[in-house]
Amino acid sequence: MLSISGRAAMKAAIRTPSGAAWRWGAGRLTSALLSGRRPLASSGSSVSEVAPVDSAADKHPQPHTPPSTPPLQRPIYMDFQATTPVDPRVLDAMLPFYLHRFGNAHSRTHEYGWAAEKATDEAREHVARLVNASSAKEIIFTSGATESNNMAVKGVAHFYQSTKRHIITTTTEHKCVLDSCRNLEREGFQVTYLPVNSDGRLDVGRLREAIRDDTALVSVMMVNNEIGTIQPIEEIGRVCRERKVFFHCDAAQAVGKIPVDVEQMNIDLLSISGHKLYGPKGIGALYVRRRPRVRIEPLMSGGGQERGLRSGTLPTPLVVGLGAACAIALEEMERDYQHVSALSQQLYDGITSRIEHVQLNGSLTHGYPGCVNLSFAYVEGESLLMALKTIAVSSGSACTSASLEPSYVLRALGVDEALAHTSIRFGIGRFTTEREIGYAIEVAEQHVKRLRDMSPLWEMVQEGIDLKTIQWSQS
Amino acid sequence: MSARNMQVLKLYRDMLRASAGFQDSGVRAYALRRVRQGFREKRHLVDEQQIEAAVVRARQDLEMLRRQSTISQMYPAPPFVTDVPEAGGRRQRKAQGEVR
Repeated sequence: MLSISGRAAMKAAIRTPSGAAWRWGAGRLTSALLSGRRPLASSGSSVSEVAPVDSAADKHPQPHTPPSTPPLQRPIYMDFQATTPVDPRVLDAMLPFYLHRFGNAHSRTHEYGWAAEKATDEAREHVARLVNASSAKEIIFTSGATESNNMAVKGVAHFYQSTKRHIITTTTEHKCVLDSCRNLEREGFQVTYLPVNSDGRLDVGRLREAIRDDTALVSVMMVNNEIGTIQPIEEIGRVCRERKVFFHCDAAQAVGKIPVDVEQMNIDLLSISGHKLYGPKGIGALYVRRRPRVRIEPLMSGGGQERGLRSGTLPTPLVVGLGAACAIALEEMERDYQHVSALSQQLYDGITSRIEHVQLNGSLTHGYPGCVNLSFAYVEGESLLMALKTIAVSSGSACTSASLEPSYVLRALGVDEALAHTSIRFGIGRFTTEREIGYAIEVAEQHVKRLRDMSPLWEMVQEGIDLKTIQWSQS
Repeated sequence: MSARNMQVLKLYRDMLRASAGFQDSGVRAYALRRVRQGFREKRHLVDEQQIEAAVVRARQDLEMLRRQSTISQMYPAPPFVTDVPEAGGRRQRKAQGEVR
């Protein structure tokens, strides 16, 4: 008798969602995960353990309610263009500088300062080597790529403003370059915003035509942060050198991922970001060519650190972190690239083979594989982003992810307004696993199907109605 | 098996064991993959000097792996949605207080 009532109580405990042990199990295994389970990633034992939970969960469905308790699981991270986690090797290099090696790198009177300066000099060497700068003196540490871009664009424009009043850039640049240009326009500079092709690439012929006698600077990014398109940097550099115009390249998304060579590409100024290559946030660098010399007006006035171009005490731990990240990137680039492109192919093939009407934004042939920007037709973008809450993805740039407006980059490519609204950027990096890719494909398929099933537009498309021919207003 | 072979084999095992201790499954997978890859790439080294350099480097890396995997266990994060409970192995479950 006792045993029966005991069993009944246990059953009741299992059924009630407040049963702590039960909840833990259910919380860890969403139905989406279970349907997403693929044979390649799971061991046999885990499946057999999981199966009974699944059937019970079907009897008590509690879908899409946000948990009131802190999450027991975290979403998988697929937003490597926004930021990357710090590599353990980088953290390992940084930690001593947060402990006993705390000296000011500019202190010249004691061992603490000397040790810190030695460390920052080594870091500078690592950064210089990664981009093939001829001297470490050409590397200026900044707070990040935004500062580097501001410093390059405004610095060159201001220094040469008495003779040169014209700047050329593209419409798909990062906001910090475009905004720097807007500010210069307000000061009386003229700026040409060159359009890009439908795959996001700049036509070099167009650039050649746009260069004038009073052009001070051409600023083109190497890898686009939203669509991953790689610009023809070497050709652009050649044109700029021929016409004796300075060439600034925002390589925040490229450095450490694809080969960057400032000599071969004729780059005069190059922006680098720490936290995009598995380094710490709050640090970046600007390469400033010394031969032929590029002069810039500093943004910061002060103690004259960094050759007078960027005053302020160097953040030694962050500088060391950036240096370590660059050294690791140089060593790992080939291996990382192989890993990332294999997973990228898997993701793209998986999604396009299982879901119809998916469009790749960007370039198939000239793109960085770690950035896969896809538009899912006939799905509402925000709904899809909300549905994919177990995957940390973005619709585009992190800077503009708060607004509901479609990305200006996609509009610049001429992507259809409706498709621009439904873009999802999948970022793949060093720590992405095959299992995560499989999961992303499953979840995307499931939610795109679900959202389309409730869409009247999708119904019409299935009936063969061309949506473009419909007159929506009744006037 | 020569003394050198034994030494390298032990380093390999120790590095794999340290890598398996990372709390984050993505980092753990990377560390394991990278250690295997690194040893495979250097498998055909014959020059004694090169081997010695590789062993010295591997020893430093082993220390780094031990430090960093320990730190990762001191700041445990919730598992990823794709993690299966037993994937972390004993060391991770120990870190989460599941086993002693």
